[in-house]
Amino acid sequence: MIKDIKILSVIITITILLYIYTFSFDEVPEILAQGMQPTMMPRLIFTLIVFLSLFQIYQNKNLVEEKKEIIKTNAFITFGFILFIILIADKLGFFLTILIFTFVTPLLWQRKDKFFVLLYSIGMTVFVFVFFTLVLQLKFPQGILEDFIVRNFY
Amino acid sequence: MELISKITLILDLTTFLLILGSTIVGVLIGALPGLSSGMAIALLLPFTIYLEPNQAIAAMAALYCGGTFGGSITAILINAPGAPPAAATAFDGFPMAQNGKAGKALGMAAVSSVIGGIISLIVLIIFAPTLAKIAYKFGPPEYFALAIFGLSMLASISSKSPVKNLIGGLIGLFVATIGVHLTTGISRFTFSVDELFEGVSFVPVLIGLFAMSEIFVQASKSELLLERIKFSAIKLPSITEFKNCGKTILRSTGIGTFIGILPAEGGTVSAMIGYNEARRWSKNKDNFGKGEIEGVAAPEAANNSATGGAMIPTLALGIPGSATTAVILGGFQIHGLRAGPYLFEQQPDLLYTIFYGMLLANFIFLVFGLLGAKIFSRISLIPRGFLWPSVFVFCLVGSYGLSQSMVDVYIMLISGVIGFFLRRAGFSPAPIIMGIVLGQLVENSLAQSIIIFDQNLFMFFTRPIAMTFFILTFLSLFYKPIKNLLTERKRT
Amino acid sequence: MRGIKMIKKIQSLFLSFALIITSFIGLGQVATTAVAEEFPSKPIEVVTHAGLGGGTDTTARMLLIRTRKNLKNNAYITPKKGDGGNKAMSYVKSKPRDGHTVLAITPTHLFRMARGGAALDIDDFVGVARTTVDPIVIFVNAKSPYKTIEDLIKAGNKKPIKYGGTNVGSVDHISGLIFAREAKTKIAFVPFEGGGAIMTNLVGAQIDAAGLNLDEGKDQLESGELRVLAVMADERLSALPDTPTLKEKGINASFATVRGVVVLKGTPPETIAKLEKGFLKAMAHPVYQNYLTGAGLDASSVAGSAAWDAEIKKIYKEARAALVSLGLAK
Repeated sequence: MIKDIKILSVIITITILLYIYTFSFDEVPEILAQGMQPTMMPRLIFTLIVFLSLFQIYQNKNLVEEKKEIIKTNAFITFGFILFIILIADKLGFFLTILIFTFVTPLLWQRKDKFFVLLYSIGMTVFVFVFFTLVLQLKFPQGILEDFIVRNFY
Repeated sequence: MELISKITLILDLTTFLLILGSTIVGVLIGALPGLSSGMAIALLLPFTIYLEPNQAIAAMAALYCGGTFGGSITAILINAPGAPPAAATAFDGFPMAQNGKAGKALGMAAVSSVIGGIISLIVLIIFAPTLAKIAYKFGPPEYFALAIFGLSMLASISSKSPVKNLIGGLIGLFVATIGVHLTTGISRFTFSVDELFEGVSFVPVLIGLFAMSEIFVQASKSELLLERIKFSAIKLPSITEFKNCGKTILRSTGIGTFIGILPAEGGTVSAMIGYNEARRWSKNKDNFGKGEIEGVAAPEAANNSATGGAMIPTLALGIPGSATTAVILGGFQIHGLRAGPYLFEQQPDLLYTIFYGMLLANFIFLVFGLLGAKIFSRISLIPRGFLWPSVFVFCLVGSYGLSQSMVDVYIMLISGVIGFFLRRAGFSPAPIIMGIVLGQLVENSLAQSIIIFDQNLFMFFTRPIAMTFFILTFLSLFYKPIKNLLTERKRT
Repeated sequence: MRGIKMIKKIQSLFLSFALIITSFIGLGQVATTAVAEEFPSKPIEVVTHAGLGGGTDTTARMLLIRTRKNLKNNAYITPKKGDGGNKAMSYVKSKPRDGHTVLAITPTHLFRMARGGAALDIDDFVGVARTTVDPIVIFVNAKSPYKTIEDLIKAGNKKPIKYGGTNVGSVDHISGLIFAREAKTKIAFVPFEGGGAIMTNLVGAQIDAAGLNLDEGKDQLESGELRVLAVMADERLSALPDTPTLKEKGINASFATVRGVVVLKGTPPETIAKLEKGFLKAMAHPVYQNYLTGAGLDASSVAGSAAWDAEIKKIYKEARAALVSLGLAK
């Protein structure tokens, strides 16, 4: 297979879709646009991307794909876990999210010392809480942990 | 002479400790991805009312200096630039850390930062009122020409394939078009997400492209057992290495100071241009992107000299030279002070306090950076199973913190995934970042120029500064081919 | 034995962790109950629409310094950026009407509402206090031939005036358009990223005129690089006693960058009164007054609930009429 053809065709497809999307922009009367329509720049960019990608495919046409490092299963698991945890982060609350993430990920990454990992994950959560919430006064999304504490101790 | 005698202004204990504290807080906050010195100053601003005005402003300026330097630490150690100006530092700093040369990279970053910072401060104190006027000479046409000059570097900014670099740059330019179009008020590519109306925030994209995608890269490697501890990691650069970078540092300092003065530009652009110029003139061109020490010296000298540069219009004209200096100007207001010509004529003591405060901050982070390099470089030795989850935590907190919005966290994640696949396919993050940084400037300054020129583009020829940049652009693109052509002709 | 010790260690760790969490809630950042007890029963949240360190953010922070003391209560800022203040408004809408959520409002919100489709309507608010008033002043370059506002108007009839302001649809933009319409002249609006950029471009003579807040061009005015032609206000400014208002010139265009705080309608009147008192006292304090002076404003910026409530309704009405007449809203 031609080198880079996969990623370049993905780029070309997305670009063409985005180009089509520009037709849904509101029309601006010339008096307001004053010489530059909002669609001008994006369309110029998209045209250039498609042109350059095609050029790259043409240039690579005799190059054969070299073996790339395969993405390992573990990477997919980590990736899936990150996706999952970010999607539920605002329900869980950031502190619980951090606690869980910093406990689970090292184990996923083959750390065997569970107790040490637990200490690390608690330490990390406390650090974020002390530094960001107490010192810098940043508010993070709160979730079930905070609800639980409020319900039981207040 | 007045200048020297005024050093007494910062010699009392409270002021000294305040500057010391602010610098260290600045370095630490600057080092955390997502937290910037500007944000820290904004958050701490209300508390400064309990300080003497001079002390408060000096502390803010010191925090600004420390924050710019701090960004380099995480850029080098974990490929997570603590602040946008440090993005270019990661290009070579992180590969150096991976090759077990974290200490050298950190040491070089500290020294070149300080040299850049101090030279720009001297320029500030001597020439500020004159140089500040440059800001007035730069209208939209000049900014457009400068942005085009910046874009001309897209192809060459990383050693990856030029065509891929260009595609990456265009992707960056596209990202910059998301949000409400400045000159027409039309929303573009916002897909009805309210948070996108004001554009994609740069910081989450930066964190995603660098740190998050690095986590994915590291996850692919996670079956490997712990790498052997490399004791060489804590070694500092040798004198020869410093000497070899001297020219690069000076060139970057010049670039950084000049670009820092221009209100619409800042540390990020100067670091990128500084990096690209270092690569252009270096003997080890091919080593750039793989762990070249000059590639650390160049952006660091540039972004720290941009700090002093950005203070020039801020203090002399009251126009913020960067996001952080805008917040510092807010600090002036809180204390009932004013920046501008008035400051130079009627409040020299305040000016000197700021100058010495920033100077002191530079020396503090030099010491902190060099001593700390030995300690920080050990971070690169932390077991991967603990290091990268921690990086993720900072990614999460840092991308959320700035505007306290989950959308920014999602943007960070998406950029991380895209960054991961693009990197696998041989794209470099450098041109993408450059595209995002310059995108709005290119489009807005062109639109403004068109209005100012009554839609007659030939009017660009009436602008000497703009034309100079266009010629520079032309030369930087075609210097090599033309030279090759000429030498060939001589031969025949 | 060792196992028990370890468990104890973990227990104590958990305990201290829980302790910190509770102390954090003690600081009062979590709130679930909204019983109509004595106000305030939990910290007050001020919702802004702008990023950290901007004018709205800084004003709110300065306001809160003393408000905390006056109400003997904690207060914090929640930035909700997006869609010209609409994000902040829909966030406030989701909160109980008990006075613990306060919206920092600016003309941006009012213009966004006037454009239609916003989360809240003008009648959903009650004004609590005004924090700053900053009228828009028409500046020109001192080297330009325009000595009076009439010169500028006349010039605009020959060739549109290049008039700088911030983004399209902002108070700068609308005020420029209304000025042009009322003065029967023409402008070509040049949008910039912020006040600093407008000022530099005016000094650099890239544009002919601009509507700026006085503070944004004050230094350049004093150093003789800029000149003021008129103030978009009903009365002359104490800082510019010789500069006429547009109203004096028979041009009906009064616009200002005003900032203030509002709560949702339905909040108990006693609560509003308490909030108002807390805010007004905070703004009378030197901490806030110094800030006003530093920003080039005077004490008349501050106003109470009744005046402020009437003012936002008036601005909204005018904005709405202006947008409709310009074809920017239906």
